[in-house]
Amino acid sequence: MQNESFMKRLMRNKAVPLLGILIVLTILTMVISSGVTKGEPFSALFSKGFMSTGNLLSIFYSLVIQCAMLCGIACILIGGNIDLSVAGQATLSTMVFAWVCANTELPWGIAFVITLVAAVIMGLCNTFLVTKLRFPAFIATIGMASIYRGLCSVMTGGNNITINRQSFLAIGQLKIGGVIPLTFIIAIVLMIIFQFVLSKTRFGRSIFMIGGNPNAARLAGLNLNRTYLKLFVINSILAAIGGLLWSAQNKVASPTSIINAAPDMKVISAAILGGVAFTGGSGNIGGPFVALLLLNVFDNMLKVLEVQSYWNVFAQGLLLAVALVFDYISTERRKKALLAAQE
Amino acid sequence: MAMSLELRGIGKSFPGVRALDGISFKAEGGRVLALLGENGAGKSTLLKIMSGDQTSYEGEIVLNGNTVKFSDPLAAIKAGISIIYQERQLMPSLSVMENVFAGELPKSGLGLYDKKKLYNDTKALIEEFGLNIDPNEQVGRLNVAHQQMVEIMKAYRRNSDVIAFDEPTAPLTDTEIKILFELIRKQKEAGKVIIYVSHRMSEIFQITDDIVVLKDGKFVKSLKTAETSEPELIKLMVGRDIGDTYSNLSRNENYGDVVLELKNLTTPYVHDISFKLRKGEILGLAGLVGAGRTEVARALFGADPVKSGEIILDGESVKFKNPRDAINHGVALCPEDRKEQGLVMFRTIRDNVVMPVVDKICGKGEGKGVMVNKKLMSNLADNAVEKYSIKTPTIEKLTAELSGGNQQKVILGRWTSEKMVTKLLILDEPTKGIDVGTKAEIYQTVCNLAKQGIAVIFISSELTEVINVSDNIIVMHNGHITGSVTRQEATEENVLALAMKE
Repeated sequence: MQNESFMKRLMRNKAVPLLGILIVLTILTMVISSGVTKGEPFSALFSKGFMSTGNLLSIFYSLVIQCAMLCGIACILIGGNIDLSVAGQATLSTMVFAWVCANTELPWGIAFVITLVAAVIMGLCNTFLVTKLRFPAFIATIGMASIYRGLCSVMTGGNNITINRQSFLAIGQLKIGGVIPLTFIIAIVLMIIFQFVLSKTRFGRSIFMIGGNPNAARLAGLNLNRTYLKLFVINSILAAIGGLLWSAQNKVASPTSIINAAPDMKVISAAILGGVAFTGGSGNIGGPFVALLLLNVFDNMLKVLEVQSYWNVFAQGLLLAVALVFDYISTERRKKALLAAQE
Repeated sequence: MAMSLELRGIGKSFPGVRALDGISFKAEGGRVLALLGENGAGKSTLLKIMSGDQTSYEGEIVLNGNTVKFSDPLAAIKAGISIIYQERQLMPSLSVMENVFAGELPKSGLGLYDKKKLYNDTKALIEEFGLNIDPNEQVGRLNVAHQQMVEIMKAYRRNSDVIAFDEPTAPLTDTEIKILFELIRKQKEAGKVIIYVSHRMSEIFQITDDIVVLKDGKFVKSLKTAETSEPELIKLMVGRDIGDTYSNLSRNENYGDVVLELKNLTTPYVHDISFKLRKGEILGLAGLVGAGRTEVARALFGADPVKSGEIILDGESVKFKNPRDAINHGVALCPEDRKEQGLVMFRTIRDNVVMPVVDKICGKGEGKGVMVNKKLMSNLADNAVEKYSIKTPTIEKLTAELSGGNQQKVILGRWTSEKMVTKLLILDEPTKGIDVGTKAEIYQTVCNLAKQGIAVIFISSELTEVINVSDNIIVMHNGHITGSVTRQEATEENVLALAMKE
């Protein structure tokens, strides 16, 4: 086997330079916003509490739902589709769960099952629009996101529902070894499972094939619509699980909070920054996770350092733009290489 | 029971076109059958029907004595029909082994796949082919010949009863062609049905046993390779009646100065193209699909980069950066794909006519001012409708609602409006999908434009058309010019022979 060296393959991965930029940017912000005035870089990070256990923990907490969403989004993007309704689905799932808990005596395990059923239905709706009515996934899922979030507000007139099932809430508060939140462990396990599915299973490889060249995949006998169905439904279930983990942490279901805590755009940005091809066919879970982690650290740091929050929005947008440009350049370069090979 | 594939009365219609009509023949196991025909004869459509890619058709397919009907490509694969497509169907970012076994990765329980077996099976296959490819290599990083061999492996490894090759040798070098022919012989000995589509006559005589000739979607003749000859085949492929259409054309007799001269033009797709074109002359570009005719047009229009050589327009050496640049120099292109590249289908005739001159019809029409002068727009469109007798009640009609012939006239109207200074008009397949009557109108229109002193490059895959409309014909093959003839000298036989010249 004439394998390339690990370093060589690493350098070919387009996620590497992007993540590099992200790290440099994060450090630069640290230095500029904390140190320049005092001549002591990084000092503000300690004095203002960035490095405190409480703050670092809050980063882990905010990552949980995003990581769950990331697993689904990454798979969908690799398969050559997109779903912009994940946060909406997560919100509606938590609302369904909280509503059942608040208005019935059913154990929360049953409420959980009902929530999963609701999630599957949402996934089927998205699939129906994309594979049967042949809407572009981009438009279809933006529309569905609006429907899901609208339903949430309608359910309670825009109010939150407090969740009072103690055994459920315990999941959100439990810390393994007194340090690491259980919810974060669950998110990590989910990501490991999906990395495994993508790289080791027949289903996982078929996602790459379909995203890489749908027509070739079809002519090779792969069933495109069935794969899209699986992807959308899995994605919805992950959104529901992520939403419930968020609710367990926050003891509440809210029609508006998740979209701020875990915006679809942020997760998609992370996926692309982490090397998932926007046009499908390549990517993994590890790279996007690192990107997501960095984005959250960046986000949190700006908050702690009391940088005007508008800059945060600006920076996130800029990062997504940079990621897309990189994705475009690498696709073009591959095209050119193919062209050169034709001569 | 011996393997066989029989087609009975296969027919297929696309909107406005009868692509196949009553095709019947039988391919026997242990023999190689060649499907032969000009561009558009229906070979590719026939293969698509056999492979379950096209699912609506008339007639029936009989495989090994049983009538079969495929709902999708998977059904055809399972039944034992594999096709090697002319356009490679690969997933460039995945490995060779995953491409070869796509759809059937070896199982190892629990939804996992057996990577080791996948690697070893692919390795064995590559060795059987006698190639040196790493099964782990990304397909996009292979050269084109090897990519094509991967495409062939995909079909070969299924061990199907029927294997159809659609122009498999186009991207291959002699080494791989030798390998391919050896494989085909092996499959033949195993009693398989082999269908081989190629334009290369030498290959047909080298490896096939039977030949079926198609023309315009119809079955012409079935013969034994050993009992026929190249001239006979070419005659069968082209032999059609030439009506009075062409003799009635009122042509331009007076040519002006040289407008365009190409000197050894080379782009990534075509090599060493040289010719001269005079004012009022119609120059035909003939050749098979993929010969590089469209690519010459694209280079002339600034759409493809020029690697070396020179384009001399009106005595001045020009280098177009983009189509806009070319248009400003008086070059106009009517692209092959009218609907995708020519028109904005859901805009009106008026909008489509004024598209390239919008900046010249602002204000009072001197190119100054900000607001578009709607009256001027309408005038231009009205003139185009009148000049080309476009059949429409109003210039407000959407071009999508027009017939193919009228759509083509809208494009002609665009490039010849009063605000344009078109010196060179390139027509790429201008009569594709257009009915016979309208075709004659388009021919006359082209001749009229030539009379006005416009130099025309006429690209067509229809031999009859290109040799009868053009004043001079240049024949291309594989990105090179293989010959040039005048209309008086040209016959379908000698042009086709040039188009197939190795």
